[in-house]
Amino acid sequence: MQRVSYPAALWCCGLLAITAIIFSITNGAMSLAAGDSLLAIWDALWGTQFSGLADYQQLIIVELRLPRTLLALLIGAMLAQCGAVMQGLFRNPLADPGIIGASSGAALGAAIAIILLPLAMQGLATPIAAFIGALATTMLVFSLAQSDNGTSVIMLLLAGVAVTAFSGAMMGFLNVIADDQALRDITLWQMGAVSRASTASLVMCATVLCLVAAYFQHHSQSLNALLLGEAEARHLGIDVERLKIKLIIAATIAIGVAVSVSGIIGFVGLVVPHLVRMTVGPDHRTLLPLAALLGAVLLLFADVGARLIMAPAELPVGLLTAVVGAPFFTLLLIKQRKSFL
Amino acid sequence: MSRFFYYNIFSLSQKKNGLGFALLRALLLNSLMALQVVADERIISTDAGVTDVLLALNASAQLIGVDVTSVVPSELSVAKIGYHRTLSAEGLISLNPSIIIGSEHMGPPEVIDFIKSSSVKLVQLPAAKDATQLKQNIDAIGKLIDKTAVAGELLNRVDTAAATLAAQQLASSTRIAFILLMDGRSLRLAGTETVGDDIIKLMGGTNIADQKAYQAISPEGLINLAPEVIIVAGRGQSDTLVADLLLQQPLLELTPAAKHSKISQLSGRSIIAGISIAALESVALLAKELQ
Repeated sequence: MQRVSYPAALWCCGLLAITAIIFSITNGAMSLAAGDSLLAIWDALWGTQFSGLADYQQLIIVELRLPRTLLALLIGAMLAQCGAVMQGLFRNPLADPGIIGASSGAALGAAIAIILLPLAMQGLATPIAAFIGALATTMLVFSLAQSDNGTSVIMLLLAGVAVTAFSGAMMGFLNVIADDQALRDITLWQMGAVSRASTASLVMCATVLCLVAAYFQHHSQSLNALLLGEAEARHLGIDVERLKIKLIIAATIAIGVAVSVSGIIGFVGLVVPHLVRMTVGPDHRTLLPLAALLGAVLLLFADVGARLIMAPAELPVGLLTAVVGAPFFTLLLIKQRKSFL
Repeated sequence: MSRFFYYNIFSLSQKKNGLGFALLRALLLNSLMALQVVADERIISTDAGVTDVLLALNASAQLIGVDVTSVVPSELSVAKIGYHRTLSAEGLISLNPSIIIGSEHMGPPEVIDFIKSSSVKLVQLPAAKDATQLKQNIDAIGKLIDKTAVAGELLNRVDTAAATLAAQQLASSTRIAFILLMDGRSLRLAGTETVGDDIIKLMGGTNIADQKAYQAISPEGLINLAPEVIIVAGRGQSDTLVADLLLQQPLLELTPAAKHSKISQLSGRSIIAGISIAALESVALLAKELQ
């Protein structure tokens, strides 16, 4: 496959992202004129009156579509970047944010909150419990993989599988004792949604994304060196052990925040970095920013689909990312099959 | 005329104050508009019990959307708005409703807040667990949609059923098991906080289960609990639930309930919307049968 140059890819992803944002602002269960929808945001920012929409329609744009557009953007970028870093760090093409137990831990935390806490407390407690669950399982997996010789990547992956299986069993137990309503809440939570965007969650996601993205970018050269192998990276003067610890902690925090805000949204973290590697190349200096942009684009389009397909009801966006992502990924794999053989 | 006047005032002042005023204007404008539409309500119900009451009130013409748990006649075309705990604000508003009626379980909170800030009237009624709450809900919904006359008839039906039930109360020490027969595979015993538990309370007995929600139970476990009365409900409309149960689990003949022929069935359809008018009437019939 012909590789695309970085600037061309950046322009392309940038344009796609802008298209996706406009698409997301102008589409929803309620059909509103596209131009007026965009002007409504301008009006809200500067207090002007260009948009011809009624007031409640402007509120739908400004208070519903705009926040969820921003949240999809941030979450998509975060998941894709964490996926790229995990794949680079573990030198494993199957790595995604869930591989070291973060997603299953978050799901377990959320399920505990949904089943055991009274309804009134769940709004606040579920994201916090999910964040704690993600952090706790990742730390457990990480400590299991420690030995005198440092952190073993194979042990990390295997411990991740074991801990995921254990939290799966715990989830099963909680599902058995849950009543029907809690059961449904848990199922829907696990499929993820970006519709619940509050100002606080937006600010938190934006802050975490900026910090983590800058941090990943700072270490992109070290990640490139790691592609050669751990021993080779060590010979190049990189403290591999510290790099692993630092990047895993950063990625875990980002994943924990993303999962606690939006539930589990699969496939973005797995597919997007591969897409970028296939088209632009594996250099982490270009991979990371492009993955962030493309992740945002994928999640934005998936969210628009989630809003429209069953309107006026909504689909969980995690379903859409998998439905769209999996066949597309397979198609690319088939195209690339020669290079694997 | 007055609407035009307001519109002008507020469109002038909005240029200075932006969104805050836009909100206020939206509220005022829409409350004025709301006065013009009284007869032609557009109702969304997000609760099975509320939908049941609305249909009983002959308000199906005004019903434009229901949640996934509501059961409506197949010939009635209404929008399906999804699960009542994960509602979509834009989806609801896009149906252009005038009233949204649901239970206290509606969510998520952000959507509830948004609806409250809009011009759409939001009414949350507690899910009915007994005749008293059911009557309050019928009364509230009847007043809301201006159907107090039909509501009065329904209230009478509830009173009749409640009176029958009051006359047929079982001894409070009667140990009752409420069983859901699921596709012939497993028995599910109703614990606390279920419609089954509400029904046992209505009949005056004691639930033999003390766990929460519906839990799978083995025939051995059920025999061990020694229920004096077994109420069996299924999903479909089978008239032979009791025979089905004993055919599948012949050992249940060992329970005190079977020995005294105190196993009765309740139509699953009548209790699908919780303690509804139909449920109350079939429970009243059941209580007579078990005396």
